[in-house]
Amino acid sequence: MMNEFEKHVGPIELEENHLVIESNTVLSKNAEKCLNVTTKEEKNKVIVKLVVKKNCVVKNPISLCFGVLKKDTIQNLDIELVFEKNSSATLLAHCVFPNGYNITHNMDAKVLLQENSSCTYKEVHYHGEEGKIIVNPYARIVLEKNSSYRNEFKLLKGKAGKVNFDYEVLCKDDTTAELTAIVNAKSNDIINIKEKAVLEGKNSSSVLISKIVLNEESQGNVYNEILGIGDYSKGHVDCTEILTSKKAIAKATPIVDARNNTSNITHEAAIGGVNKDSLNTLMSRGLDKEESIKIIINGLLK
Amino acid sequence: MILKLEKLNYGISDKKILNDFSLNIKEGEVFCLLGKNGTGKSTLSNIIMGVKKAKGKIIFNNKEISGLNITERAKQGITIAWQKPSNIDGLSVEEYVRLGNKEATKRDIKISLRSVGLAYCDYADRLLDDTLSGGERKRIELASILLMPVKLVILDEPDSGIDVISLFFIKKVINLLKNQGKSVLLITHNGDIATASDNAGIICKGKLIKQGKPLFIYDYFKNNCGDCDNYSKEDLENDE
Repeated sequence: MMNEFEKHVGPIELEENHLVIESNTVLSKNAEKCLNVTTKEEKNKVIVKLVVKKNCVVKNPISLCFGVLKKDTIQNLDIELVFEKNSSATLLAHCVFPNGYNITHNMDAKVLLQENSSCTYKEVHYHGEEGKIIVNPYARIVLEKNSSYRNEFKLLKGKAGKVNFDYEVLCKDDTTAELTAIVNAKSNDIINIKEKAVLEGKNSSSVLISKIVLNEESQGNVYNEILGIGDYSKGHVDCTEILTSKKAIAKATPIVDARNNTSNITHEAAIGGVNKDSLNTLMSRGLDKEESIKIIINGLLK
Repeated sequence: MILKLEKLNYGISDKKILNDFSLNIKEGEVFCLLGKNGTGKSTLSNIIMGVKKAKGKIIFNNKEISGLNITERAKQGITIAWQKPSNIDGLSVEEYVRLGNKEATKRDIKISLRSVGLAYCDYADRLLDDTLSGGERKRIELASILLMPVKLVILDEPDSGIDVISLFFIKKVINLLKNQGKSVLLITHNGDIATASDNAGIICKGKLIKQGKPLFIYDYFKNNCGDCDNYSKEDLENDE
């Protein structure tokens, strides 16, 4: 599975702390004393609980490698992540479906960050070249006082298939959440991104970022919502969707909802073709149009 | 002549922005074009660069280039330092400066950044995004054109919306370009910058109405040119 990821996406290193799941089977797991990882295989499902223990700062990233090598498979992962008080860790998830044909990947995650904890979760997906796959990453994240959560979802190589990304974060006092989704869609891919932040606590803040390049006949639907409830809560939605073909479709729905006169919720969206000013700038340096578009798109997906 | 503009006409709906506009720029000359807000200065620079199409002839280096696109004109030897330089997501300052001259060495980049008062170690890896101030972005724009092997540089209001320090570096860049033997079309309404040119002219109602030595022209401009009633909305938006 890791070889397939390396072949199509890039180098991958399995860290000492790791968990590898193929289809609905745990292939390998290892956890140092700062972590508690339990797994349970059920029929057509794997249940995972990963706890970062109190006061533990895990220096090296925790590798998660999830995937399906066979065709016609449904993978169901129920994941619970708990960061106990004053803990911190980075999780690097590699999700690989190289033979993406009639595959459904369902990830149902619950994430709890207790007081003063910090989590960075980076996930890179590869769905094969056929992309006949449905991927449903679903996460509900709760941030308790003074914790911070950063999530980055990237799908840049191969065909995406149908992606239904649905993440919601509840931010209590003095917390920070940043959710980023970056996707390069092609052919008839359908990318549905739903990100929501509920800024319930005072001084809570959140940034929701979506960057999607839609090639050929692909479709992108981005729904970003920030709800400002707590005193001095701050939120920002930033959505960019670039269409490189006449047949691609981009839709964006930013919802900025403030229910407190001290909160500040903003949004910006850029949807359409490649920015003409950027294009003119690069062409005036002697680059041809195609090369200029490539630089703009690669920059966006970087 | 490096650039000959012959009877350029450009309008939006019924409004004429350029009206039989003609201008010659010699090789190695720094020509300053003065004009009030909205008189078509930025429209002219866009027409020369190939962003907009106008009626009339544009002859560059003895070749008619009116039918060429932006890239082709840049390859012929024309470039522009944009009035509002665009940011490019994900591109570093070094990558941007190198775009116009892929042969440029790290040393070349260092020198060009230093010429506009930016230290390589502080700026090379920074991204070309909103974290840069307007003055910093304009200076990076100038550093990038310093490296380009071109014959004509259009400086479109390099002084708009910047600080005094940046102003000093703009004058320095104009002199460097001149020393490199490049011709410059400097578009501005700043008298201080205008004095760095060899010759100057005034654009009014879409025509070049006066031409001469920069001090004389700037003096005339200051005392005689009010707001233009032939303004171009596009240019006003650019000026804001």
